Amino acid sequence: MVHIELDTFSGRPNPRWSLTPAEAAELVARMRDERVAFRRPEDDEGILGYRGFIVTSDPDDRAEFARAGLPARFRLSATVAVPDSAALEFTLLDQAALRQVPPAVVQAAQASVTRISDSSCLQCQTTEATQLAACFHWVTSSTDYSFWNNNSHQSSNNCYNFASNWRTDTFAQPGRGTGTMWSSLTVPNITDAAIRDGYRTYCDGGNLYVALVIWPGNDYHWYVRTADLNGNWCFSHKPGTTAARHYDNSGVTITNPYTCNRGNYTTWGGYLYGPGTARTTVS
Amino acid sequence: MTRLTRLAAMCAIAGLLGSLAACAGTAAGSSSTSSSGGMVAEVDVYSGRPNPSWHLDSDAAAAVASCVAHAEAGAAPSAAPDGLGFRGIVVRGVTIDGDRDGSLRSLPDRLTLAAHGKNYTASTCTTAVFAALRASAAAHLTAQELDLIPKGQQP
Repeated sequence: MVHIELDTFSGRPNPRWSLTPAEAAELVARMRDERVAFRRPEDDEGILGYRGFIVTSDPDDRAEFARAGLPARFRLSATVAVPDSAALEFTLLDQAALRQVPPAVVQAAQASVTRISDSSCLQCQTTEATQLAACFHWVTSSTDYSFWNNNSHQSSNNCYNFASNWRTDTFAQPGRGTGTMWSSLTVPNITDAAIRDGYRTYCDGGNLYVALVIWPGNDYHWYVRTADLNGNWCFSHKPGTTAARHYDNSGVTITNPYTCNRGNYTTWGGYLYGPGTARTTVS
Repeated sequence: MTRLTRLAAMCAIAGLLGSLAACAGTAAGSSSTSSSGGMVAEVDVYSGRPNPSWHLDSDAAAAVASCVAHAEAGAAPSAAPDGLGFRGIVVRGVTIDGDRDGSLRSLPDRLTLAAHGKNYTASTCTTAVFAALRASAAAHLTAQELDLIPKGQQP
């Protein structure tokens, strides 16, 4: 059995609960597949309020933890410098709400994780702009989607077509155009397939700027950075056969695909660049 | 008697003759390539992967045909979900008011039809059609794919 402790109180005992076998399996899989960073249990920020989660496995689960490269007990706590556990922390906070943890406690923790992930994203963008002077983003329109949203093409192009700015009418699949299509719904597998299609993990000259997310066990989805005529950028996406748009499942303009409402697409897959002129390989 | 009502009457007769399943094709006047008259259902749920789809079997096709007979043109449908996640079961190749390329979108709480570039509604069969389509899906999709479809209400 796997036990979760929401490390947030000072005087009272922290909220604790145990995961179901399915929840435990998902947690281990996400830790492994998303390469989520973890810390030692005693390595907290020493602050009042939300300090992350402490995950503890019973002896029966330790072999499974070890196979995933996890210690028997560890802390999940996103920081601005290392924010990659934030998505998993949001998932655990959703569980906390279902386990009768007081709503105010859950909301305070959610606000804390949101602040960290937003700050991290801004820092990331600043770093890119500083380090990669030759890097710039090709953007398509975030106000005119008529190239996609019409009776002839909308239903035969998907999120990958739209993110790649390449209308093939084939419901394009990562890797298929270059001979080996994705084979499992994990971040490394889908990312590697996109890289075979010409995407890059680094910015080099003109690039599309796309983000990958995954609905665990079911599907993947892509966002792409777009802009209006005044240069104000946001992110747009095309959910399957539906129309391309710049708003999320809550109807809110997407400025950060990491924190927007993504429905069941809870696994964050990170950003990729390109494929720019190489996009003709997407199919 | 409207055209749709006449088709419903024809379907009822066909049903008595034991061929109600072919009624959608009869109404369409199309050459029926399967027991469903060529109707294909699709769970509109994925973004990147192709949606799960299957040819409708006779019971579901009959439910659709019966529903089409009660459709009314001109009513504005309430907006269907169009974001990430389940967006309904879509049936294509439905003959509606003589248009063989009509389509139907079924959700637990609403049903819309489209043909001739117009919308139609048939609120009285919303629950029955969704239940029939879900039952049909159970025979054709994997358990994991079936779980993507809400259970809805019993008709």
